[in-house]
Amino acid sequence: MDKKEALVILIKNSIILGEATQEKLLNLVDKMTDEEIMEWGKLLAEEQDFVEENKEEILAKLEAMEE
Amino acid sequence: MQEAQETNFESRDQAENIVRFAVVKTLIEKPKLFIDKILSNEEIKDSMKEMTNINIRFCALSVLALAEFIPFLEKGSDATKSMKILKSIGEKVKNAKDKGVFKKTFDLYPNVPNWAMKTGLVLDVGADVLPPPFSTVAGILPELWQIMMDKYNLVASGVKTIKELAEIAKEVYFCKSEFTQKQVSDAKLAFK
Repeated sequence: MDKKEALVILIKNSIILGEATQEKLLNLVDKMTDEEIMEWGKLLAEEQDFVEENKEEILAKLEAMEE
Repeated sequence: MQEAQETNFESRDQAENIVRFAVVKTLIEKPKLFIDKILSNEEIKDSMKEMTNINIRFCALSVLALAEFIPFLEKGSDATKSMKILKSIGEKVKNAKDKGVFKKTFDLYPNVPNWAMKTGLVLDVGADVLPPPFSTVAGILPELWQIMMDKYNLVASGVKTIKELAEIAKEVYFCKSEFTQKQVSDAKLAFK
C-alpha cells in the first residue's frame, strides 16, 4: 500500500486524535516530506497496535468508570 | 428532533473523549514500567533500542491525547507542580518546532501553549535525552492526566454521567472504524 494512502487510513482510524485534529492532519499529508510521513505513520501504527493489543485493559478501564 | 440529534452528537463526542482517557491511562502505565526496568539495568538499555523507541512513541501518543484536552484546562491553572515541571522541560528544548512529528503538531494545536508541545518533542526525541527528562515526563503524565480528568468530569457532569458516557464510549469504540481490519493491517504494514 502507498504510504500516503496508509497514513490517511491510520489518521482516520485514530482514537487519540479528535475529528478536528484529524482533518487538519489530513490537510497536511500532501505537504509532508517522506520522512515526516514515515514518522507519523510509525507513531499512528503504534497506536493501532497498542489499542488492539490492550483492548481488554482499555475496556476494563471503561468498565471501572461505569462503577 | 434537531435538539435531540445535537445532544446525541455531543454525547458521542464526549464518549470518544472517555475512550481516549481509557487509552491514555493504559498507555502511560507502559512507559513507566519500561523506564523503571531500563534505568535499573544498563545492558537492557543498550540492547532495547527498538523497545525504547516504542515506549517513546507511547509517551508521544499520550502527549497528543493530552493536547486534545488542553482546552478544558482553565487559563492560569498551570501553577500546579506537574504543569511547572512540564513547562520547564519544554522551555529547555531548542529549535523544537523543527524536529520530529511534533514539527506539525504546532499547526494542529494552535491553542495549545508552545511549552506543552515542546514537552511532546522531548518525548519524541527522548532517546537523546534519556533518562531524566523522559522519565520525569513519563512520571508526571499520570498526574497531568488526573488534572485533565478532574476538569473533564466537571465539563461532562452537566451533560451525562460518566457511566452513561462510558456505555456510549464502548459502542463508539467498537463501531468507530470505517475501514476493514485488513485495510488497517495493510496500512500498519506500510510503516513496519
